Amino acid sequence: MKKSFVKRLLVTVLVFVLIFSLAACGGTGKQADQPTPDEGDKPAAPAEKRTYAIIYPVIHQFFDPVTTGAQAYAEKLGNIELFIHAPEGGQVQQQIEIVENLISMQVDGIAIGSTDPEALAPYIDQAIEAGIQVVTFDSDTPNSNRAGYIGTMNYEAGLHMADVIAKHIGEEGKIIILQDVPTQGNLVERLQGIEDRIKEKYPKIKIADVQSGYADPAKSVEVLESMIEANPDFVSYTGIGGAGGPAGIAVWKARGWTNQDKMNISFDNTDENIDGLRDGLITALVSQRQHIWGELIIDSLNTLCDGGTIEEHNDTGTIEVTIENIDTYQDER
Amino acid sequence: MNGEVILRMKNISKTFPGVQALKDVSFDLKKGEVHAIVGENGAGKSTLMKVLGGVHLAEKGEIEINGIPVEIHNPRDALNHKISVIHQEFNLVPTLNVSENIFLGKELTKKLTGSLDKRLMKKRSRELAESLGLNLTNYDAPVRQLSIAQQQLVEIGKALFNETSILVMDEPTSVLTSKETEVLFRLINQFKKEGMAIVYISHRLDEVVTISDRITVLRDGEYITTMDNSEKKASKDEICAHMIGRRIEDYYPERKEDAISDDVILEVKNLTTEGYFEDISFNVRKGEILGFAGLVGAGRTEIMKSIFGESKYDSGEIILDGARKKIKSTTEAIKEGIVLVPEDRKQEGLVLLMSLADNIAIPNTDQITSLGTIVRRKKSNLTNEYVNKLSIRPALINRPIRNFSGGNQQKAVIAKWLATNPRLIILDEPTRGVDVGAKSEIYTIVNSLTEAGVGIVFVSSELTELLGVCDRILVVHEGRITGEFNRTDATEEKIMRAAAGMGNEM
Amino acid sequence: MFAKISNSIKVNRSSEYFRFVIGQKELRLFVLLAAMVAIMAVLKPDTFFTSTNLFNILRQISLITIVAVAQTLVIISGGIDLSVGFNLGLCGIIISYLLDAAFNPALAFFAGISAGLLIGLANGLIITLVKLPPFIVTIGMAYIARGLAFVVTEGFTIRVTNEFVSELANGYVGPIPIMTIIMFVIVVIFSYILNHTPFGMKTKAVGGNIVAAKLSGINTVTHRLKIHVIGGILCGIAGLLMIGRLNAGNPNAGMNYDVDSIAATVVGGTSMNGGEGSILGTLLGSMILGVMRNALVLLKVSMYWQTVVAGAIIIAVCSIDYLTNKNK
Repeated sequence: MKKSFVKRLLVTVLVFVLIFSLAACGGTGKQADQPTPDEGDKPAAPAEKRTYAIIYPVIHQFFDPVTTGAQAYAEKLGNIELFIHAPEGGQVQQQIEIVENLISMQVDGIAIGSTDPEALAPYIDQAIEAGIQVVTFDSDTPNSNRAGYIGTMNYEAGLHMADVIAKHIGEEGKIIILQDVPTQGNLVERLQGIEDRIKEKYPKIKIADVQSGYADPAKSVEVLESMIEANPDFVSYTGIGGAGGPAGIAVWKARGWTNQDKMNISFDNTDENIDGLRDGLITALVSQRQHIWGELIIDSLNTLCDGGTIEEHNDTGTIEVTIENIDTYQDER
Repeated sequence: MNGEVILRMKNISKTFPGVQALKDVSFDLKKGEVHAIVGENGAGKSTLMKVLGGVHLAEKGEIEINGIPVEIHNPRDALNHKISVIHQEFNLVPTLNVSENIFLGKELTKKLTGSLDKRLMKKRSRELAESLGLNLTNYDAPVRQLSIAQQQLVEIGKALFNETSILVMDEPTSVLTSKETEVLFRLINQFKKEGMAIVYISHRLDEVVTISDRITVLRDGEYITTMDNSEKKASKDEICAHMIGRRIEDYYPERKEDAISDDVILEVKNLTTEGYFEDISFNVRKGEILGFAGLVGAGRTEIMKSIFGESKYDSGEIILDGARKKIKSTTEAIKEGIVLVPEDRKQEGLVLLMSLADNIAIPNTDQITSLGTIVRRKKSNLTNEYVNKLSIRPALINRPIRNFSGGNQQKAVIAKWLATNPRLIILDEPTRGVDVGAKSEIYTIVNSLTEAGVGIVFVSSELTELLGVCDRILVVHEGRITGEFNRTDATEEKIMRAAAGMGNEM
Repeated sequence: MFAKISNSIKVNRSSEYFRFVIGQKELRLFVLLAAMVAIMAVLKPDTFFTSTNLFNILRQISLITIVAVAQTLVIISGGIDLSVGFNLGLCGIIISYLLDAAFNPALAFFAGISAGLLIGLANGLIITLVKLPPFIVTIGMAYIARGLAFVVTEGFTIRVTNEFVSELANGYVGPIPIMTIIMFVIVVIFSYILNHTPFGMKTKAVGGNIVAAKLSGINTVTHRLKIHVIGGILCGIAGLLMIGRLNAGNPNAGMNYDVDSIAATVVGGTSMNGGEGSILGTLLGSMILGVMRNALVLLKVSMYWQTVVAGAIIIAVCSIDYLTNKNK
């Protein structure tokens, strides 16, 4: 008797928790709806309240500077509400659902880094038809009607990377490359850039191997290990995607190597990569300047919402980070 | 000291879905006595002891130990009151060795380091084991490698180690050889002298009369009587009459000799599966009830499963109505009109999640389907027909089968097969776990089937039942047929001897 | 104090009555779904409760529901299929590859759906004949399917321009997405098969007690084979729709569909132990999860918390189901 009463109580509580959690979520949403208190003069505050969504291709710390940059800037401007979304594992279908849900939500602007440009293009166009301003960042969706792209021109980033590698290894030697997801457009372009520049300017550099770790940290380490076994005479390693640099750090640590033994020259200034650079496990990084994207995204969306136009390609460029400029590179604009 | 009441259970009631397992049962136990509890399957013996052991919680009733009311909510409470129950299924961890099992939960540790003192534990448990006559060559072997009798001794060792004052043994001899049983009885008598109170549950009335001081009879969850057996002279017939609640003659339906025809339905010749049974030959005639006696594990179930096509056999022939048949699957067997009511109805006979109607419908979908769709009306007509024929109660065909009592579940299994119009029904322990009333009904059903010309194979471990029901009884011992008796000349004694492999005096 | 107690007793009685009247798990789920929709309609009338958004949700759940129907059948029959996601991924890849190579579209569709069938058949054969646990077999098969998808595509996305495929996934009949109609048809067919045909009864019997099913004359081996083959075909159909939705054959498509389809199935009240469950329940389970995902975005819940909330809701719904059923 007692037991079944407890059970029923538990069920009742669960039901209420379920229903009220929904209601509560709604409550917090409401609060967020209220305009943030004015803080006096602001440069380009939009006239009416705007909601913008930023959709990352995957939840990853690479985008943290974008989030902090955008949030700080939105607060500074005022009258802007920001949502940050991402499919947690980088699934295409989930990103499509997010776009569809944002269309239902009638946001004013969307900035998206596509997981798969082919797949996302029609949904971006749907958003535009629904009257939403769309810009892309990080990885472009050129087949869509998006107003413009903000970010690294990845092919150019690849060229830059090839130059950086050549500088450090003395324009000669075998290099190995780890790709993340071989379908991801931006990464494909980077790789292409590296390959083209080497072919064109550095005949003595040989790309010994290119493999994919599918953005999975553990798998990336595995694949890199076997690549090293297969090419013991390589002089430098390059990680193309977000998982590449850290995979190198892990392998270098495990083998007791430093950048004196073999070089790791990878993309992006994630915390792990920066620490690796400080610890002497990474020789150099070719970093994107995603810390300025947040501002650019908001400025572009504001301009578009006000009826203006923006440049189709806003290349934010890349910058070489080494131990010398590690503390100052973010100040360079 | 001996002779004073140590345990009193008063007005214990316990229900399970669909069954009242215990109704107001009272029971008492004295120091230094062996008190036997007897009853048919499903009478409530094991349930009563599970209440005492804290496995089940009674809805009603009181338990007193040494005159003090106690509450037993779980097995640990029982242990704290120095009650040890040795269930039919042992409570040993099969992968641990003897000393680890005995000391489980009460491990000895070294004072200094707090680590396990394996040496001491092993020494103590070895002394204990040897005092019980458990002489092992290797005390480090996991207990699953020990024989059943040895495992039982380990269980008893555990109980002794807990300084048990009340020891409950549930069917302790069902898995023992007669020699092992003698050893066990010597131990029981020794414990008795030391003042332990022992509850002894058994089917075997001979043993009960030999070992116990008092005998309590339960029937259908109710207390019937307690008989004195201090002289070891209680009458088995009297116990039996109490157990079934009527005179034995009234319990079994009258067999009509003319029901048996001369036509042989099934003939089995030299059926052999290595390691299970060998050279099995017999036949069943139309309208005949052929009994199969033998000890648990003698190979009867395996023989039946081979005939039913569930398991393969190595060699031999199965002849149906004069034609040789090779039955490769249960589907084929059913097509040939052979069906099997399996030994374990919950595991093998029924889909417990399904309703009564669905369980009956499963092998009969052809009859209730039109245009590929199951027609509800046809299904309920079919089900109702057999629910009425076999008086399955309650007659709620959409009720989940798990909520029916054991007897009605068994009738549902029989019903599902009757609906297929079989020629031969094999019943493997059909009355196990069924209450007395339902047993009698099942006997009547079986009897009336023979009048319709169906052949019956009736496998049972209960001799009284075989003697009461069957026309002919075959006895299986270690995979071979060791005896055949006609209804008129069969006795318990003869069957037991054949079942134990001691030859028969035909 | 006393008033409160007597009140709670009354609630218990009426809930007993309620349970007797509605009885079915499906109705409970429907009530939950209706409650979610009602709350959202109040909180976000202008964004949630619009026909575009509601049909939007229906289209979003269509694919996963088709896969979950396959999963439900397999789970009711006592198994589990962790290869559904990559199976559908591979089917989609094969279709897009053949379309890209200018094959006859009908042939391409047939080949893709046959691939699903073959994977289902392979699962079934290994499970029934080698008698490996379904968990292991289908995990292995998931790797194989995913690997083959990468072998075929070499990791690249294959663009799909076929009008018919695109229309299937993105077209409408009136306001209703075609994909949703396909889903409803599949749900109705399999709901009917499960509840009203010998095949369905046997499926439940095999899942509820395979020994008893076999001893009742059901050929359990061929039956389980059929279930896996049907599951494979459904994955093939889902694969076809997936490439339409993505406008591309993406080797990563279908990721997480294994877990998501199991979630829809269990929220829908199907027992992981097999033997009982319902396709309608799975549809409702899928709808509940779909509304939830949509609601979490519209309610502006942080993306990090969305997944946590999703998991909590799955556990809560299943706990309610379990606790209210345990009494029986």
